Amino acid sequence: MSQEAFTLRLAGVRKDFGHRRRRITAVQPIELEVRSDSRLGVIGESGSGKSTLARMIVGLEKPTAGTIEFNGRPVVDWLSSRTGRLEYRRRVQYVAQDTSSSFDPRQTLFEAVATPLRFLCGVTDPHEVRSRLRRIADELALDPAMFGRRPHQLSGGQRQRFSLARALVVEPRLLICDEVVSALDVSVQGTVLNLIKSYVSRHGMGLVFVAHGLPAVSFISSELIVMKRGAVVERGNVAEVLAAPSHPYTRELLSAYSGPDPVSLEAAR
Amino acid sequence: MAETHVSAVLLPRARAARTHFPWGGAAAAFLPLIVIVLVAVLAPLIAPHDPEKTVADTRLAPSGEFWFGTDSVGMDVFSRVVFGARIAVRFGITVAVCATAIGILVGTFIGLSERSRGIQSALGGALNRVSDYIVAIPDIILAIVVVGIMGASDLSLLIAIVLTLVQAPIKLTRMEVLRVRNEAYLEAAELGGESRARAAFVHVIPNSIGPAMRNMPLIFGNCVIILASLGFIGVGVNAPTPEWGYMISSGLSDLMLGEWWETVFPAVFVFLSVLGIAYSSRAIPRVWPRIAAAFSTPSKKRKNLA
Amino acid sequence: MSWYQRNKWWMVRVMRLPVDVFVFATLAFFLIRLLPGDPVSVALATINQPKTPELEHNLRIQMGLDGSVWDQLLRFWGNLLHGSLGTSLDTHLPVTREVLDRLPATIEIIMLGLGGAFVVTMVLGFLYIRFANEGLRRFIRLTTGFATSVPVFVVAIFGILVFYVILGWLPAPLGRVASGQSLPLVTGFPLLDEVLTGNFADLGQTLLRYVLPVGAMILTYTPNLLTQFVGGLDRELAQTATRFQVAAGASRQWIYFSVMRRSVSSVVVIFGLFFGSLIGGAVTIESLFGFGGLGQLGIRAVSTADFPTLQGFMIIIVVFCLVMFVAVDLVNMWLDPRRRPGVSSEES
Repeated sequence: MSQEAFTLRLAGVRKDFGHRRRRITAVQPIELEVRSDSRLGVIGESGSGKSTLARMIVGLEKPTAGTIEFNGRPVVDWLSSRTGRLEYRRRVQYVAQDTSSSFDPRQTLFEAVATPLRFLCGVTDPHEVRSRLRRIADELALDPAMFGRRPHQLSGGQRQRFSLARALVVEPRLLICDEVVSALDVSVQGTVLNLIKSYVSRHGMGLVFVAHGLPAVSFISSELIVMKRGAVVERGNVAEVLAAPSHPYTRELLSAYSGPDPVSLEAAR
Repeated sequence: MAETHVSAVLLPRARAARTHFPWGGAAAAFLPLIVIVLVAVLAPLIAPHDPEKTVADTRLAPSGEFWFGTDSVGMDVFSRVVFGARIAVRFGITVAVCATAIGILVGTFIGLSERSRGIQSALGGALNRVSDYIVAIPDIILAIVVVGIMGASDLSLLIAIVLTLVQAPIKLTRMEVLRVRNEAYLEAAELGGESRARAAFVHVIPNSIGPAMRNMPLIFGNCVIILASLGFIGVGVNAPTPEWGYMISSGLSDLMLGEWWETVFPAVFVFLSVLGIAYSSRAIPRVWPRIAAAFSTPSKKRKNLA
Repeated sequence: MSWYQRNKWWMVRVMRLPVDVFVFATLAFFLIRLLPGDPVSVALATINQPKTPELEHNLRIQMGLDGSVWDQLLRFWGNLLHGSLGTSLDTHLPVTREVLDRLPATIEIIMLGLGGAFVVTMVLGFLYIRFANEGLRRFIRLTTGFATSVPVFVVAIFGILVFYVILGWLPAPLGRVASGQSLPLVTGFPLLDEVLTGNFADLGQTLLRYVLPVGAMILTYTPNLLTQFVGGLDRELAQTATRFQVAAGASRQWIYFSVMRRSVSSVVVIFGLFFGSLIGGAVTIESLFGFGGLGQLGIRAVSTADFPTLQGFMIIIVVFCLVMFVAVDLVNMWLDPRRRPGVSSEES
């Protein structure tokens, strides 16, 4: 298991959507650094640009301005060649909110999870594929028998854990989670969050965790940035931000979560 | 859009417990197609005479020996009609397969090119416009022109008919691809290191061929119609070949004199086969979800899904 | 709203037509040249002369197939601007004249068939909402089961069998008038010409000879139109607007009229899609009833490998179709203002 260190640096990254008159700036120029030991939480309401930020890091969207560098090399550069793209994808993986279409309905989960292994790590030997899948199933507490199923035969929580398996099977150095628990039941949310947290700390990898709910973010991350209308309005250590929020929007967020949160529920069980 | 997709995925599961292969419905839907294909395949066994040889006197009325009578050169009309099914089915299946395969490839290319950049987008857009214009050409007229330029042959007929009938699968596949290309699993495929070409063939095409495949019986039927029409106006297959349209037109002058059997029997066969295929092409999409459900019923060892 | 804004919807649509025609003609130019096979060698095969390179070269020039494709295209565009599509190899007449001489007669047949089917559809549709009983519905559902393109010539043959061969009620399918007579030629539309020249005896003959072909077309095309119309009627009957009319106490007649008017556009929409198969059907019908016309021209051009005629034949017919599409679109936009382009943006 490689424990290589990395640095991801965003400098003046901006993203606009639309043309000319109907131009909307989704992400205002942002500076950010993510390291191998970062647990960065990104929080904000819907439309605050947090998902766009996550998608830009993995290269699903191209920044309008600014550069994103991974280990000193621009991501655009990584993605421009085939080998570079494969290397970058092996190091940086992305999991999105669960939808019914996050898996190809015609493939079994085995095929879906084995695909990145085959293309990104070059693992084609059936024995090795099987043992790697068994290992990841172990770590994410998945029943290996379910690999033979098709996506519509699973519940949302199971599907989301298979999404995680698909991303983590290549042993990336950085995991980007985009609203991974938002669509799940509260009880399932806790399980998934715990899995992510323990996996990330066990493998000493970086994490960018995007969510709109404060409890999940505060549970899983050590640093925090708060976004509103595309701009970062607050950043810092989680404990410090929670203790002394400086921006009115953060205060508003904090006061909105006075009820029981899923993590403490999970802990109480 | 999303809703129909969800229900298409979820319905089979909801019914899974008691899904059996719908024998009755499937048989009824496929029956006309199967009968026509069987007649075509077994033509040499069914037909009592050689369809392209003079076997008796000319213009004999239907009798025990010659069920549908004989034509103006003494060939057995019944044998010719039966072998006519062979010509129709051979063309129909070839055209349906070619048009659907080409249509799926072109439709996928157009669908994936839209909203992409550069030369691929320009090419896809151009193909889409070309297809729009070709739809405007009446099928018979296009076939006349193609046959006129290439000379009469099976190949020119095939190209002419495929060119008109390929437009429907192109449009159907394009619509599906435009839906599929927004699905999250394509992003996942990209993140998993799959190339665009592989994603197109492994994920996009299998998930968007449904409508084009269900359109195949319709293409088959249309092909039979166009082939008969071309044969009828004299631009179809060459002379002694037992083709229905040509048989109808060559018997016309005898029809005026009251010798109806040369024309009427092939006309009845065209009529019945077109209606039969039309019935199948409407019935198959109706039973298809149940057939698909019967195949994708999850295995017995379903564990608790909680 | 200015006059321009109020009338923009149809002006824009009409102005697009010349562009469509030009693009299509160019497309046809390439389509024909991309087909495998060489028209020159096909034509040579039909000529009973020793095949010399000279002959081939002359033929190539006559067909306009000499020089590079781009030379040909420039020449083709130049001719197109002058309204010329070349000269027939067979008759040495301009192709445009060859086609346009025959087009009106074909249009007449199509219009009679389509118009007849439209009238029958309207009548059946009215009966459908006026007497909404189960028997009628079942009958209409059965009819729509035939809503496919059973080839019209097959239907016509059954007609000939019954009404000419067996019953002897109608004349033989051998042209528009009894053999030996010829039609007056003014506009090219046979019925109209007979009226214009006061030839009422011929008019009666032609009408009688039109009964079978037009009847067959009506019988073939009505189920298709009816399927659409009944679908439209069902939709419109369930609309809130209709319920409101009933609740507001509008007269029955008015409600029938209103529902029919709103559903007609569902029929008109498929006129456009239908036109191609109508022309194909008309070609076979003309061939069956000995009417001459477009089909005959096409078949002659095929048998003599008359390349310029084939090319012009296709282009003019499609231009005619494009004109009909515009007409269908305009009628539709007139019936249903929601279909007009730019309407929604004016409101928002």
